[in-house]
Amino acid sequence: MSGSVFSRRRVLLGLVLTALLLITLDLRGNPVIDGAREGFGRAFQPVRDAAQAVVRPVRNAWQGVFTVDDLRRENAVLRDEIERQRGAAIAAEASVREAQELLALNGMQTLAGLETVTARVVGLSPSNWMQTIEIDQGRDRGIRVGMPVVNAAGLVGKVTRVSANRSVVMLVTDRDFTLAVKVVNPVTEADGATVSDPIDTRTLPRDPLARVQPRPGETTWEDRMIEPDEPDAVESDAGGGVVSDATTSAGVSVLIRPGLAPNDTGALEGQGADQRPRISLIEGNPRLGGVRVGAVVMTAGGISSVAPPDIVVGRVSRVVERPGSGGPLLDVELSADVTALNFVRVLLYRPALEEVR
Amino acid sequence: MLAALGRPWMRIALVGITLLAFQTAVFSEIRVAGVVIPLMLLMSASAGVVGGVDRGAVVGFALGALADLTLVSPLGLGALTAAATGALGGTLRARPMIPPWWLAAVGVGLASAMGETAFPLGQALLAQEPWVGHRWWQVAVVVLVVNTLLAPAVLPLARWCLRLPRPV
Repeated sequence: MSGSVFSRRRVLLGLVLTALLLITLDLRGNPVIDGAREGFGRAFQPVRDAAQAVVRPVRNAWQGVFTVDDLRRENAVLRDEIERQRGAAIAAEASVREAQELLALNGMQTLAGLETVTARVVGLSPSNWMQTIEIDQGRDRGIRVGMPVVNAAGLVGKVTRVSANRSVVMLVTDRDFTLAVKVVNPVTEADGATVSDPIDTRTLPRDPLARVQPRPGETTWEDRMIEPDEPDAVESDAGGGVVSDATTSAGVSVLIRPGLAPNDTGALEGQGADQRPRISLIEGNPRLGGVRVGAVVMTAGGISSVAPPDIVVGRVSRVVERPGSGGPLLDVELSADVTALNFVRVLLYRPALEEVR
Repeated sequence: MLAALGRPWMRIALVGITLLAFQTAVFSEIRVAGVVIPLMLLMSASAGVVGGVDRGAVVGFALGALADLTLVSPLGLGALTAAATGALGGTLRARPMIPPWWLAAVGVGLASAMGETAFPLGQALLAQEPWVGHRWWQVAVVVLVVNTLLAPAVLPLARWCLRLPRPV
């Protein structure tokens, strides 16, 4: 009996030590473990595909029985939603185009021109504790770890593992997800302007070498020069919409809104499947006013950020004030529905810092 | 080939790969109340209940390591929790040496629920993440109920893998 207990303890101790060794090696980054993962993934893929094919009728039947009523309800709600958003989308499209042109004119980084790879979602997370999806494109298409993933509505997540033709994407809701974001308060009458009532409109000349003349007392456009090879149209990949060239021969109409609401920047962190992602502000300016519910959340960019600036993430749904100098916590309602993804796009973006290296 | 199938390790590998295929291809989408049913822990706990602490822990470790290869969590974390699940199943079995089938099923459900909820604890320890909240309880209850219901079908499979005779 004592021999059996001793043997049992040895077995258990051996397993625990082996597991701890594996965890340590993997956390420190080990090429052997990475290779084993990739090799297993490649060998396992046909087995998994076969299982998917075999049980497809069962899965369809399950989903038919348990989700058909929900889908009908959702369909009706979505039809109403589409009607409501149709008008807003046209106005938003124009604003996006103008913003992209402004950024291009100022030589600032934009989403236009970023290469993307469209991928199909082929698997969900097999774990209750990780929010990931698997997509059917990988290293062969230029995808690398860290690249941001979007769908038509906004940011979905970032690539965390890549093999030759598959990638695993960590969703924004995963508890390990962190990204630098900026928060822009909605423009209201209290700010001196409304979205539907721009204060000022001016036209920038199309002449590629023309200097944009500032108005008296303004320096915004001073010494900005349009590059000769600047494209007439800016094709925006942000949010999935392709914006056509609507530039007139007279020039580019630009809306200027004085008193634009202040920005705050912070770290967006996933909170798990059942909670909204949260921003802990690390750099706010109380002098400019607090963040309001409804404020737009976008990626902040930066030389070390894995995502370029201005990808739509969502809106602030709740502001949780904290005592002290920590600033408020912001709950974010995501634009993208990460629970029902079919196709996504990977932005082939590398942080500037990484490119320098 | 058929002779190789007589070895417990070949059987465990075969069953493990099949379960993993179903776990990743099917059970990741077919969820019960939004909860993924952990088939690998179900098998680990069943191996523990029919084979004892040692066998349960070793089978759990092997199946957990297989699952780890498909997850983004550190390799070894799933193996550790699945080994604990198998050992726990074996501990529950040790009380009445041959439990009635319904008690064995409850033991499997209990062990796999505890194993499943131990995973985020390990994650929290490694990454110093915040507590997972009420979802932890929801997952525990659903896994307990569903795996108890599935256990009568998996216990004979575990017995076959370990080449154990049917209880009389």
